[in-house]
Amino acid sequence: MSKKKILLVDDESGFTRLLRLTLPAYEIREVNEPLKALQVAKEFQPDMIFLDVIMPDADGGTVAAQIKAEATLKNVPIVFLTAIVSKDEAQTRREIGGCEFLAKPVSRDQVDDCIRRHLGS
Amino acid sequence: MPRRDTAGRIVSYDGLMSDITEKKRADDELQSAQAHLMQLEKLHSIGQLAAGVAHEVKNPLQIILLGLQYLTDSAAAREPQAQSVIAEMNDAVRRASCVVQDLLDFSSPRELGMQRCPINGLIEKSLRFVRHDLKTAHVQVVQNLDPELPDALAEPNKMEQVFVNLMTNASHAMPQGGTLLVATRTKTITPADFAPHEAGDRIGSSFHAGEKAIVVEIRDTGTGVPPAMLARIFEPFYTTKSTGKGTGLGLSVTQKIMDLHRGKISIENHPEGGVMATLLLKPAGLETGKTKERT
Repeated sequence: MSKKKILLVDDESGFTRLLRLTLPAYEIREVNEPLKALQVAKEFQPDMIFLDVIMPDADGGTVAAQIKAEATLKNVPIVFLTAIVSKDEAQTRREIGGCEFLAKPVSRDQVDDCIRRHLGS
Repeated sequence: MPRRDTAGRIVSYDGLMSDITEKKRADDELQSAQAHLMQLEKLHSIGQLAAGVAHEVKNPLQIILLGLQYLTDSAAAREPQAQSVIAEMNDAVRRASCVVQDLLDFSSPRELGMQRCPINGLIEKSLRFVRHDLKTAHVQVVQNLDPELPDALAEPNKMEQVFVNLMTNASHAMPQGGTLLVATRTKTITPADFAPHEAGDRIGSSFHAGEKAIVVEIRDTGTGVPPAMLARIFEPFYTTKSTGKGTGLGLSVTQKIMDLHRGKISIENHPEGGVMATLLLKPAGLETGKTKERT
């Protein structure tokens, strides 16, 4: 069975690299420049996307809107990763613009659980 | 002006008097409004600072956390002491993350979703949350919760945060073990409730004499807090705890939450020893809805 494909969009290359290394069960593609995210997503056709919120050049919301506007990607679940969220918001309000979010720092298990929840794998 | 007789002796005084009560009240209100605005400005600046700090600190923490998880699975982790070193580092990441999180909680603007809350239920839930810490610290819990307590108008998550903060503080105040006493009751507010009677008192709530209030008391049997420290206990970044035990924001956040609920918090040394936090909350009436936080 082929591995589920996960796209990681975050300007912190150390983070995307380590997440890829700690989650070998998935085929993970890293994008560290948000302006390239849409193009890579169209080529890679991921099953799920993790998207940083605050990035240089383009924020996560802008990138999400571009991806959602693409016919082949509009149903791909997007999960935001954000460092700027209060404890209470992280516990109760788990959505930004209709997309789930995870509060950084996230553990490998949190990300794995999130993928399983969305993709049922 | 003195009025004199023919011999030059003062026999009376002439003077004008005017009642300046209203002017004084207006001046006080103006001063209070100015102080409030300055506080809002400060909090706004702290909010911007907090968001910047959160982004710049949490991202490196994120990398360290994942790096530690990667190392946990690697051959290096099988070396003697490696697991304990990794555990220490994980704990350090958690602590650093908590500091940033507290800063965000202290400064983030948000809306309160007020609803009817069973306070006793929230207390029991909070106790379950801190049970592990209490057990580790050999702290026994004694509850005296009024079964007839009315619901409060509050946001449950925020009130839980208040209870957990105070229970955690109580636990930290008893490193050699002790008793955590939690009690609830109702009372009628009297003028004495508005008098500042000890330094850690928090005045300025919206209660008035004759009004019914829900009272929550959370008390430890530790050594208490010196009065000079009690005076500063609600100040942001002020802590009486050792490094790594507290951020100095827990009680500031607690106070802020109580203010948003139009409640009252006081923290005092108890005559029988230890510290007692007393919370006054509004019972739920017919009103519900949202309170916009103005920070």
